Amino acid sequence: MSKLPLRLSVLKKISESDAGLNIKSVMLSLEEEYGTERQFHEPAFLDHLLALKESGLIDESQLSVDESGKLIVDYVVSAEGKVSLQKYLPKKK
Amino acid sequence: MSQEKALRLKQEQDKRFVKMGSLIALSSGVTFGIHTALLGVAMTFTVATGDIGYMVWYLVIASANELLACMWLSVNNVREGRFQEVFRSFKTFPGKMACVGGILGGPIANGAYLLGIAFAGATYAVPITALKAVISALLAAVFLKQKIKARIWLGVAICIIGAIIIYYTPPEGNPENFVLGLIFALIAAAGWGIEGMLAAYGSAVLDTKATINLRYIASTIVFIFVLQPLIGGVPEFIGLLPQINGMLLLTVAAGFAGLSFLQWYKGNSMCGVAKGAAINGTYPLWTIVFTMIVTLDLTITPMVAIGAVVIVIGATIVSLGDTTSEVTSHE
Repeated sequence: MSKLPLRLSVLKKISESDAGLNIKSVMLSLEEEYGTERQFHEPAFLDHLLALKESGLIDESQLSVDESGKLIVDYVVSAEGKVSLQKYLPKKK
Repeated sequence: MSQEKALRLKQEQDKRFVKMGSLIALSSGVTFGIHTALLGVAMTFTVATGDIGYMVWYLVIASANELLACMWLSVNNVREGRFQEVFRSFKTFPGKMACVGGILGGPIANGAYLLGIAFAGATYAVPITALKAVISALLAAVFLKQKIKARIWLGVAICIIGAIIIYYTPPEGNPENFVLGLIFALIAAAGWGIEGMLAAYGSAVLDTKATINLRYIASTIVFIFVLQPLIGGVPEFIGLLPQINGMLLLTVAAGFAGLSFLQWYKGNSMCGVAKGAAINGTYPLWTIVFTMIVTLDLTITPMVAIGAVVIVIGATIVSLGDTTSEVTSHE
């Protein structure tokens, strides 16, 4: 099956996790599929997450700070995000 | 304690994001101003090979500009390892909508804009096309459910008034087909306005750089393979290609056009369509500034100076209160 656009895959992965995903766990979950592509880097994923959040498709579920003092944000899918996924994901035959 | 720190870091990140969105929208206006100024210079280095009217020639140049901007964006996406995203995006509904946006905002709006000027005169047609920012904002409020504050509407209105003042030219007689001209000007405004809304719609689930590339591929195909044969511009288009100096300048101008559209799409997805459209709407001001620089003609009319000040006031009103995100698609 052909791959989905990366931003849509990020949304899909977040929707599949009840606990929510942060930037590291999203990247880990997509590494097998997209890991060899040159667009697979943290700044690009931060861009995807912030744009999805700004569009109201994902919500922040938890904020924390890692051992190096860096902000970690967990995201869950919003009601609007679920509707978008239903509309835009290819229908299984 | 760590929760407090996380909250503080998050607030700082949010502030940075919205401020960056406004700066990106502003850079889209500035780069479009540079594009327009350079395009004006490039046109003086190109000549039509046949006896064609101004409108056909403008659309030939517009087609070349579209093709060259498309090439810039494609090369950049290949370089950054993102070109495959363009095809993946095309297979989705928002990707197809981005193509529709490109066709509406590219060949259709450009063609209608010229017909509007030809039939109704620039005095009436150009100010009408400035309504595109309002159309974008209205459509985003209705279809994307973006809440838009009264202050942003006020800023949008002031920016439009500024653009009208800058582009005002005294009417010349009573143009024939006046109403038809106004309708074409409205079609142009609607084409650009709908594109602004679709830009934010597509960029919600698709990579911005892939979306803008897809938009340019669609508009370039329609410009060259549909519009050119329709207006009889194909021989002129082919005749333009070997004009090396003109084409080099067009290539640089098109690079700024591509960059401007990229920043416009990105800004719309970061700070909301209304705010993005208003700040992008400062481009008449930047066009004047950069035209003065590239032509070394530093004369400025009172109307242009007044219009420029009005635009700056409008954009400042829109950009105030950047501390929190003011546009959200949550209901």
